[in-house]
Amino acid sequence: MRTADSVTPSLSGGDVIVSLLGYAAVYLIVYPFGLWFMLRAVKRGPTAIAEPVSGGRPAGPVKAPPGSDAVKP
Amino acid sequence: MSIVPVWTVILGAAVFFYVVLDGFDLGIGILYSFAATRAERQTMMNAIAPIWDGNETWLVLGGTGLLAAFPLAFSIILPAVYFPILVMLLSLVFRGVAFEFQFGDAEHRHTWDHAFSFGSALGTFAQGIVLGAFIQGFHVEGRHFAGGALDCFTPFSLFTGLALMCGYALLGACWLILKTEGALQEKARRWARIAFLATFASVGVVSLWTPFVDADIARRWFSWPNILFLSPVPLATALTGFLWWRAVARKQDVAPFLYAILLFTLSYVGIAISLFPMIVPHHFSLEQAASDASTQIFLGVGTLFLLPIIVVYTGWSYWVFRGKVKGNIGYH
Repeated sequence: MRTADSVTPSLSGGDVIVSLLGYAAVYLIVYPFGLWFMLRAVKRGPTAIAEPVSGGRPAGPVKAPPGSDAVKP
Repeated sequence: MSIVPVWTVILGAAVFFYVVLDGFDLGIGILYSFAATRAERQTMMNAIAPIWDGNETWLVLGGTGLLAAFPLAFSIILPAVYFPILVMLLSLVFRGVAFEFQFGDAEHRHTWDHAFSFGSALGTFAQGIVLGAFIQGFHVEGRHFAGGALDCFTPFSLFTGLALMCGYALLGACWLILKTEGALQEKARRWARIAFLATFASVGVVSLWTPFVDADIARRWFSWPNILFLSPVPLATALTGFLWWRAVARKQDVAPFLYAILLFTLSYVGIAISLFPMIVPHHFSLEQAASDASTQIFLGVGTLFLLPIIVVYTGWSYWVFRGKVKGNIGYH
């Protein structure tokens, strides 16, 4: 079957032009904006990140504050 | 033995999941422009950000399932609703990118706010037109749609477009009741009540309008003894409405959403009763529009293998993001 034979019978050339222009318009808005958006993000560089919270074991022994009864031999 | 019933269930389930799931996040888009503050808008978006795109995948399953399992129906219905489908897709593009741009682009936030709310509203309206046009049926000659591209815009389909906007707004407001707290939740209850009254009235109007414009549907519902077997459907709808109203009045969090889904289920069942077993109303039944049995079996094996996986990971993502949305924490 050739492409020309498989076209939807009810679809007119005008319908196709209108829908094609619709897609073109939407993509011409969304993609340039997205590109601008990404380029701006790159230009600005990474924002400062708050001091990361360290996990794992503490470097030195943890001492109980004086007078506390948390650790009693 | 025919596998058509299996595909009928798969397609029916896909459309139903789509309507309920994407329904509530489109509904939040419709309600979005009624939010008063930036914080409220942020919370509304955060309430759907992790799940909205997953919800939309059901539309893909519905569309490709129709193409693969019922190609004759696809080739008639899609050309008949060419422009509403086009408008829906373009609207969903705007609404989809709005999530990403809105979170990262403070200067143009208002533009993307509008893209989100108008995209959601217009996309829903277009879906409602598709529904209305489908119920009314299409001008078919032989095995082709023989009408014009603008035939689908009728008073009835424009009404179902508005009705679906009310319905999705109801689902969205109920989702907000479920996911938020405090002042926004109170506001969502008010939105939900308004949307509920509009939805309930619309369901009533459509239920009376369809038998008037369509003798087949009237016969299906009102002939004896059908009227006896089918009268529980409108009665259950009325009961669900009562339970919904009571759940909101009692300030319950989850029940309004569940009753709203039940309301959608009953409306869906109502449409199915009106049209079954036709997939192109008045012209072709599911059996007549089905693709070859070997095609349906081949595709059915893959689909029935994948569907449980999709359901499980969807359920899991809802579980991960369970609980109330807090104003300052969100997944982008």
